[in-house]
Amino acid sequence: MKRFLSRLRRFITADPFPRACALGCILSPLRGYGAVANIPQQHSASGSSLHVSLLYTWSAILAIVFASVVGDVLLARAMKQVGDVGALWRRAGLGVVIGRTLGNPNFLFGVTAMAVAFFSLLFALSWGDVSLVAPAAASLTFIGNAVAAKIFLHEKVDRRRWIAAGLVAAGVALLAG
Amino acid sequence: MTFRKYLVLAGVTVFAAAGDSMLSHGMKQTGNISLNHLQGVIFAVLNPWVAIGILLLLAFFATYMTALSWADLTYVLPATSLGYVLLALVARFVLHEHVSPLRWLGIALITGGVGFIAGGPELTKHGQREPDAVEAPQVIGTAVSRGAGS
Repeated sequence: MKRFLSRLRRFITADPFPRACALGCILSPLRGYGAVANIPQQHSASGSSLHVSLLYTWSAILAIVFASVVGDVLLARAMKQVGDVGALWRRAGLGVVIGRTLGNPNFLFGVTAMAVAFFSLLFALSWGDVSLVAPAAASLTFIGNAVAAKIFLHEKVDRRRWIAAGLVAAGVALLAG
Repeated sequence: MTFRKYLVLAGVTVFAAAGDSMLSHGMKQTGNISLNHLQGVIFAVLNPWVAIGILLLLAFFATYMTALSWADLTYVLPATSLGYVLLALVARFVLHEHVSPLRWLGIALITGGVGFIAGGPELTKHGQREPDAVEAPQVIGTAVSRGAGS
C-alpha cells in the first residue's frame, strides 16, 4: 500500500500530468482516495512474478486507453449535439449552454468513462512504473481516438490527420517518458 | 476558422499546461497524503497552488468542450497537444531544467504533427455527401420511402 501511494504521488508530481487523471481529480477527489483505500494489497513487482506483473500493467494500460477513448468520443458526440457553444451562448445565454451540456446523456456517460480511466490509471500505477504507464497510455490514446473518431463519429480522417496523430503520439511518448 | 476559435484552442492548450504545472507544484508542497490522515486531502485542496490548478483545469475542461462543439475530435486533440511542448519549454527556459535530445525530438514531432492538421479543415461536413458516395440506388430508395410515407 505504501509502495502504491508513493508511486501515485510520484505520478501526480510528474510532468506532464494526463488530462484524464486531472479530470478525475477535479470530479472526485474524495471518492478517488476512497477507492485507493479499497484497493487490495498488491504484490511487489520485485517478486518472482515479473511477467505476470507486466501482463497486469499492460491490461490496465489498455483499460485506460479504452476508457479514455470512449470518454473522448462520447464527450465529442455530446458537444456536437449541444451545437456551437459560442453561437448558442449569444442566442440563449450561458445558462442554457450549461444546462444543455449537463443534461446531455452522452456528456454524463463520457465523464463517467473519464472517471473509469482515472481509476484504471490508479490500478496501472500499482502494478507498473510511471515511466511505462504514462507515455504508453497517452500515445495509445491518440491513436485509439483517431480510429474511434473515424468509426463512431464519422469524422473524415484523411492522410493528413493520420500522419498528425502518429507524429503527436510518437512525440508524446518521448516527452512523457 | 475565426480568430476567436484559435483563441479557444490556445486556451485549451495553455489552461491544461498551466493547470497541470500548478497542481504538480502544489502537490509537491503538500507532500505525502497518507490513508491514516485523510484530512490531508482537504489541506491539499486548501493549498493555493492546488486550488488555482483545479480552477485552471476547470477552465481547460470548459474550453475543451467549447472546442469540441465546433471542431472534430481528431482536430482538437493534436492541435492542443502543443501543451506538452509548452511544458517542456517552460521547464527549459523558466525553470532552467535539462531537456534531453530525445525530448527535443519529441517536441519536434508534436510541432510537426500540429503543423500537418493546422492546414486542413477543422470540421467534417456531414451535410453534403462526397461526390463518389452519391449513388443512384440511394436516391431511388429515399424517393420510394418518401412516396410510401405520404
